[in-house]
Amino acid sequence: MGNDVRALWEKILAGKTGRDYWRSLAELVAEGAPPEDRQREFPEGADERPDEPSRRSFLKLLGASMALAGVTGCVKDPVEKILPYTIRPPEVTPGLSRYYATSMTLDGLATGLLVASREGRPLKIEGNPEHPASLGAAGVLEQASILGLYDPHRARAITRLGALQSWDALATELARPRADRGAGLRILIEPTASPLLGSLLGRLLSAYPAARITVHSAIDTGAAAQGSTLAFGRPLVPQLDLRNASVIVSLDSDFLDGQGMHLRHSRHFAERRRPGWPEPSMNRLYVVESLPSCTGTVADHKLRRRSSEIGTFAAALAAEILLGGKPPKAVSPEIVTALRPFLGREERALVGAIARDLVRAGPGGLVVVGERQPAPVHALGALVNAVLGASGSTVSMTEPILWNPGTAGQDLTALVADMRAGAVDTLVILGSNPVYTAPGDLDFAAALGHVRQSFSLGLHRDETGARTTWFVPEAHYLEAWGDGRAGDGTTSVVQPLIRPLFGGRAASEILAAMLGDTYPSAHALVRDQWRTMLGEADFEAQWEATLRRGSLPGSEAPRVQAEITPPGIVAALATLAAVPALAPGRYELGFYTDPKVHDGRFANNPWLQELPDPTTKITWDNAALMSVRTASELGVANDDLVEITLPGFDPTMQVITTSPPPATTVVLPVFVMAGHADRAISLRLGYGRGAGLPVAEGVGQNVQPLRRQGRSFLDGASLRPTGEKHVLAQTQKHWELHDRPIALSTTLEAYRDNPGFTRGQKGPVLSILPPVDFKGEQWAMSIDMSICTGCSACVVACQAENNIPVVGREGVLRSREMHWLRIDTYHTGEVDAPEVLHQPMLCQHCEKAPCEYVCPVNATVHSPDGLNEMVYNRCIGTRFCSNNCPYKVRRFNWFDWIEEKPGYNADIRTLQKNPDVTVRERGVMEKCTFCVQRIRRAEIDASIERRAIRPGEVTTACEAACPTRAIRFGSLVHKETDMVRWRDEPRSFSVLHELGTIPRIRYLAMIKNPNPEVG
Amino acid sequence: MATEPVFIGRPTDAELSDQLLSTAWRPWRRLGKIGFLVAILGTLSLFTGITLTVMYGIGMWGNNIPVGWGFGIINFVWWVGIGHAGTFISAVLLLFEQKWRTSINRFAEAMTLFAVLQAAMFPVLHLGRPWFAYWIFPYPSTMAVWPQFKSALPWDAAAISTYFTVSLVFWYTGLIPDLAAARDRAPTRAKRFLYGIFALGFTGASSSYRHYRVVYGLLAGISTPLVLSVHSIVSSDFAITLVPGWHSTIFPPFFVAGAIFSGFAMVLTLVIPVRSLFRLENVITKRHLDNLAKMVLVTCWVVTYSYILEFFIAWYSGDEYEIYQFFEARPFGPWAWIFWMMIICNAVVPQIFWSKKARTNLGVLWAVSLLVNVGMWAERFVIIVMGLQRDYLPSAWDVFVPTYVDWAIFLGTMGFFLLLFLLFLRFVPFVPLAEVKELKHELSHEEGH
Repeated sequence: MGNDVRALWEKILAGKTGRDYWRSLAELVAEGAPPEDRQREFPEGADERPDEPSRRSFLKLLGASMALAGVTGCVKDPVEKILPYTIRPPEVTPGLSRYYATSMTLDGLATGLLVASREGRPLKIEGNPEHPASLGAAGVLEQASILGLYDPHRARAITRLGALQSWDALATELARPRADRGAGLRILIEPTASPLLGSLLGRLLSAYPAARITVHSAIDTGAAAQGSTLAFGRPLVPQLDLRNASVIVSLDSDFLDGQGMHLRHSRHFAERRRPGWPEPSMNRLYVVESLPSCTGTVADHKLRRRSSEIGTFAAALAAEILLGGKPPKAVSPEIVTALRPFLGREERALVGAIARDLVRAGPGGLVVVGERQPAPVHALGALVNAVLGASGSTVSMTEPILWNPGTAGQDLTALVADMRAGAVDTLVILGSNPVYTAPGDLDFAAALGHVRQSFSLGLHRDETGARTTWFVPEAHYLEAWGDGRAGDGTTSVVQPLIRPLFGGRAASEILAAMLGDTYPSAHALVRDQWRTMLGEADFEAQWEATLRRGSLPGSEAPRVQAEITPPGIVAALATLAAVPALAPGRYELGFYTDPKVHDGRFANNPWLQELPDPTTKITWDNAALMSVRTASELGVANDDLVEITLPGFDPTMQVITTSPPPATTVVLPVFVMAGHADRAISLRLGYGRGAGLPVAEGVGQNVQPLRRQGRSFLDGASLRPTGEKHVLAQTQKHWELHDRPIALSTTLEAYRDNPGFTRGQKGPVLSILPPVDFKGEQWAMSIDMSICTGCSACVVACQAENNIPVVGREGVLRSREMHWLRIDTYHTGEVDAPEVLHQPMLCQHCEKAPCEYVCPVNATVHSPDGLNEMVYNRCIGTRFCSNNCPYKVRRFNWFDWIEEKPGYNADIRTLQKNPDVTVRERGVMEKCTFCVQRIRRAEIDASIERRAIRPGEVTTACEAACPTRAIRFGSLVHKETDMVRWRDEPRSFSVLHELGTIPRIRYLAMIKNPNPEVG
Repeated sequence: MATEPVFIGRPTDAELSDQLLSTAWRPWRRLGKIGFLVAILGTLSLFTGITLTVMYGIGMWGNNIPVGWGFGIINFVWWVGIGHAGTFISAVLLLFEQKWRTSINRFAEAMTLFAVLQAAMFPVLHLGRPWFAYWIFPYPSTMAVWPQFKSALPWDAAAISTYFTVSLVFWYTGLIPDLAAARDRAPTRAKRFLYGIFALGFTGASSSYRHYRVVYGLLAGISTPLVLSVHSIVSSDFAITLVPGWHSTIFPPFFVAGAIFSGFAMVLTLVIPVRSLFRLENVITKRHLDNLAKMVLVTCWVVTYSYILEFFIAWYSGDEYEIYQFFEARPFGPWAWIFWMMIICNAVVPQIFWSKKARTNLGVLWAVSLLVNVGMWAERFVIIVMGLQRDYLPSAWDVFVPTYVDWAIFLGTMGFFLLLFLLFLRFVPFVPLAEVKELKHELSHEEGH
């Protein structure tokens, strides 16, 4: 097998263009194996689907089928009485949503949200326009968190060694007086910026000064803070302002998708990115990375480097700026001396061009360093920004936002050592799952066995919860009071929308109980905390205003001035100079949080598992991601299983001897990614979760055993194909455009010269059908491909708004996913440096819709306001409409998905369903409605108020969620809106215009802004 | 070259009656029992497949998005196609006064009827909500909702139901004189009674025959356009769409030719074993088989010409989607081997019928007829599945993989077809006795000159 595959890859790589590659790749991997080849992934019965019964059950049915014909359903449901409101609460209007401001915290940083609540049920999450981390948008994880609230598998009871316990017993145990000043007490928490948690932890430390606190996150290595210490002599946090950035160099940073402030960054980036008209101009983005990220897909120049090579690149870039030409600002000579060896370590023409571009941009230049990179790279990033004069313009520094335990802090390695040594008497784990998220070399689970008494607080009784002495169910953020800070320091309140469904508790309540408060209330705690922050005077009014607004205005962290400290930079450069080259036959492993399940905490969320990965379109799995050349070297293709082994521990690292040694072999299916760095394998965290999470169980593989503490990438792995296969369920298998006019793109320069390049893809077409009567509102959408990052927030928003069912891995393998809105991703150009085009694809609401004239029963018809409507009641399910839809955006209910996949769709999850949207029956077709329920609501409001619908009054779910505002919806009669103006830009076009369908969705061609100096 | 006559020997009318009617009341034979067992098992598998589909949904099949139609519609078109030969032989050849049609027409009509019955199940079964299938008919609904007549499907439903009804009446009308003969010669009272009921009081008087002739001729006239219309309308299910490979104006004649092609092949497939088993070599002579083979060859060329034309038009149109469909997706895409099988079975193999030796060799005839049936099923697969697998947006491309329910239903229809056909052979005079006698008299009259 290996040799055949190798020969094929060689042939592909020898080809001049990527075109052959895309086709061959598709042929080789997409349809090599029918879905039957899959192995059993779920426990017996969990994935039993009626279309795959065993032969035995077929024979059973064979006999029973005749008998069954006469037996129809005679099931009588038990009578359940309900009572109406006798006196309706004044704030509740049945049928109307109310919005409450709250915030969701991830990796310690809060994002402000507005949550729609209907008759007491939280239903839908939107961004909070007044919150700096959201600006009105809500990302994938925020959108999907609503389903996490209604997760039927969440823990429901306090247990001690698996036996039910009362809160009183727990509180007594937590508050038990300690004689050791806390010497045996350890607290392990996630990163947090919550003022409340910070002050409670502070109080705890003053009560138990010898206690130690470990802040643990699955991926954060603390390198950014160390880098800042190198550069400025103290830990500071960069705050980006992309509104000012005209040339951006990203060093392994996915600042548009993977970080705390990514929604804000996306918005500001897009504002500078969108080439307007008549004078198109846009920023320029260079991305240097190993694994192609969302940010990388929108880059003008993407450079493939292994994670370990990026430091050298940063140094070479700094050298080129300071030594290659006239530096914009002089630096101390010691830095210049230390940089000199790096001049030319990278191809000078390339790095020189980038350097000159940055220097030209001056204060508009920006270097962003990814959190994954080690400290020296962060230090060099800070140096370049300082030299460019970017400080105060595109980047400014603040004190760290996250709470820091200071001298009471202890890193995870030290904690585990203490645990092993038996020095830990009591361990309290708050909201973290270290047994799963701790790197393999620590073997946290074994260490936990040495702790006398441990407590854990978690949404699920997960890997950690099942091993600690005490387990406490955690309240979801929509159930409990709290507070937090955004990445820029803005303070906000976490306001619950519903009482805890399963009796969960907030972390603050556990800490308060440890301080002796037997019956703590998070509400009282957070109010007390804020009373100290806001002051007694006028507290109630201010508190209420904060709750309404969602955040405290003016609370962002103050900017601080910081000067570069040359010795730190010199030290950083010395470290970089010592980076060894990759040994032959060995590979680099890179560890990445997942855009969907993050570090695994969202793994039990079926929406997220089924969401196609923005760059690979893989669902329900993780894979060993690698470049074409690497796959060729290994002789593997997509879906081939490879065994990844890390032989022994890296001697350069601090090593803890463990017995037995942790497993260092993981078997994963291969996925070949164009534009990936060679000889590097990228692995997503968050899969292969253990028992207790029925949705996540058996999905993908846990790669943490390969990780080493403090490292987000490692050298020295070896790979071996096992010869077996595991079919990855992808929603898109063909990435080539086949020269079809589907997703158009050009460069800024070419666009200026020839603005009308999309001319052939719009304008009047001949038709024998009568023209549309333009009366009243005419709904339409414009989508700018230039600013679509492919992040997929719109996909989840649509799923949440429109009650879209989850079909599971089997369903995706059979190409039956139900997403009304998908993001098509196309690759063009070279295999090693593909140009990536993201195209959100949804019902085009064609004026001459091909689906309508083939429906035999009038189930899909056109509304007077320009919607292609789907009448579920009338649909008999011929699927003729879908066959005739050239965009293939229609979705069919192959089963009753709630019955078919109850684990994903049924149970308490149904409480999330939007009451304004029909839950579709088995056997009917469905598709994007342009959120017709929102349109009709606006119409009703307008007619009550006797006015016309206002511009911008109706937003679709996808439009509201989009961080870059690439999707615009509205009525064609509102000429003043961006939606209409965009349609008149020269680069607008209709997909498959020549078919004469006259889509109501106009796309704006993707414009790239490459540097002419870069060849 | 000497042609074999359409009738061998000079039996008396009574001898002929004995030979052709005895099939209806002679005792069961072992082969017959085995045949029935196989057919019943197949039928059971069909109804199990249907039960699963109705219980759980169309998801039991391999269909997906983009391939919205799979085995269901393939089988539908295939069975309807097979159903074409009967009417063609009975009606069209009757109007053209082809004598050789006489001894095989009943047989072909029954085949038509049973094939259309198999076909008619699929338009209902393939619906997401089959219990609302009647919405496709223009009935006076209280909500005043009509079908959408721009779609091909209401026309399809009308065409199929008309065709089935007319075929049934035509077949039954042809049967009446023979049922009367069976009534008169049946060995038991019960059989006499039953055949008597179905004979509708036909006495064999010349006035009866005159009326019978008029009705039969009229029905032949009505049936003839249906032969052309049914598959033309079925073809419009595809031709009116914009799916690459479907959107084509040659589809109506192409489909009709294909239908007759497969129908004749199916007649051969069935008639060869029946002729041997029931020793009917005197009434179904090699001349019949030879003529059928010639018809297969003719329609093979119409079909082959259509294939060539499809490729030519795809290239000539310059339409990139059509070009991709015909020059990449079909010959080299997923399931390409089915495309090549189609070409070999439908365009290459029947060329053997240029040889008279092959046309009169039972083994060759039977093998070729089977291959043509396979080829025509493959053709429907190629058109339906391949067009949908590779349409406009590459992002949405996917493949169709049938499930075991698809196979259970497909093979099940063959079982059910076989069951109906065996019942027909067992209880009904399957060679038109009255017409054969008439033919015999005509022939002896000609000889007398």
